[in-house]
Amino acid sequence: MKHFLLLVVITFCSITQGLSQWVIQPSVIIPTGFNSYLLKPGPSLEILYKIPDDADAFYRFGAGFGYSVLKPTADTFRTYAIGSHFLPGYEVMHSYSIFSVGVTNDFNILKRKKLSPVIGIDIYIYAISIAEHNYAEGLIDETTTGDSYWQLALLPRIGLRYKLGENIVIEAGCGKNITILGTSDALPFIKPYISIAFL
Amino acid sequence: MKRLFFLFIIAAIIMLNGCSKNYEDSLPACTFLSAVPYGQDSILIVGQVTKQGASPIEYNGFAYSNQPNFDITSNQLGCALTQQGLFEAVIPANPDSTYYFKCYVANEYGYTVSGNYKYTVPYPAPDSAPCSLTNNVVNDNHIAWKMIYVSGGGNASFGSYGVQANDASGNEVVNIYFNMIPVNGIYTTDGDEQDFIDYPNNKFSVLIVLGNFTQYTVNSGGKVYVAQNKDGSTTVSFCTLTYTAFSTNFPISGKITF
Repeated sequence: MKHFLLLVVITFCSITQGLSQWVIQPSVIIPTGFNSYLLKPGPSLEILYKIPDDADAFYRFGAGFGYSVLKPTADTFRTYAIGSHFLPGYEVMHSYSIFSVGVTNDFNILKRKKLSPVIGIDIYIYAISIAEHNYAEGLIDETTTGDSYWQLALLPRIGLRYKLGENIVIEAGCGKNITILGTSDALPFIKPYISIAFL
Repeated sequence: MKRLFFLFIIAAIIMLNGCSKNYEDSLPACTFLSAVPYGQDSILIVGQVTKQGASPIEYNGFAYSNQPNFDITSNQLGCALTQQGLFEAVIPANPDSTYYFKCYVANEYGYTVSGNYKYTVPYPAPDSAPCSLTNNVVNDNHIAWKMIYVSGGGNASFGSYGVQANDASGNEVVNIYFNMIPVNGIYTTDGDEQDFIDYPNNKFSVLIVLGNFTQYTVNSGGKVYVAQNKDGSTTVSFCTLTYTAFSTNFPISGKITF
């Protein structure tokens, strides 16, 4: 899987060489909804490749991948199970990581301005890996080392972009992840980001 | 323009700094409020959901034990669901016994358990059988016997305290055996002598044996009422007891003060 993705990225880069720009996009994944009490906001880093390389273009398309690590909000979660009666238990989350592959669509509102609002909509596939230990008295005692789930999601976002000199464009904004389908519960989060594009 | 852009970034970072939430805030909470006598042989326990947490309450209830260190799987009682209010249960309890209670409440995020609540059940108020009886008269199969000789003491054939009542002729003899010095309350008849001997900790169990030579034991499950009187005497009364002789059940009721 990893080799395949690497091949896709290299092929994409080769085809678009000279027409595109590299983008490094650090961001923070801030879980909302149910997960907001279970997962702390965590760092994320994405590498994107966008075309065309014209910073003033109205529309730019990109593709890339990223990786995020989220930490639990507590060492132990007081879970329970219902057997013949109420069974107290606990859950320890050892790791929660997200590998993402996606495509981005940027719309530059004010062309040929140093500062311009940007709206965008991204489509992501997330591979979520969770390692945890679950226990419920007399019913469950299991450790998982890396259960994997996937999700398809839309991420609409808004931001501001600023042209810093001739070759660098900085963009700051915030997106909201909306799960469309997947093999686990929805993963709603907001994602403030800063992207640095090298023309 | 550049300054404006970077101010925007700094403001966003400051705003987002407060986004992290605390797991404990998502959990519900309950408090064990009270335990009070309920009838002669039960207590009413009351808990309260004091915080719903971040999702609706899914379960609430009690657990109890006669030991201070216990987990909530002991004697667990689920209660009618409440989101923000009181919940209650009635449990059987012996007078002069100490119990420890906890309440628990759970939502989608997890559960919390209240602290221990210690309660010693007081002796109930004096009680008498719910029928019309004459003092020191025993009605055996609808024949009234005046009990002339009545005594109580600790040197008993069964249990640790016995009461004996005889009529003048000695034809009607009633022996009532307790596992403790009788105190106010409702006792339950044990129809098996060996069972009565084997379980001396059943403090509110009572054995009644009738007769002198041929003896009959009063059947199980009857209620015997004890009242400690202000003058220091004790009254034992009973209404609807039965004993079995020749495969026939005979009724017996009476009131004896010693």
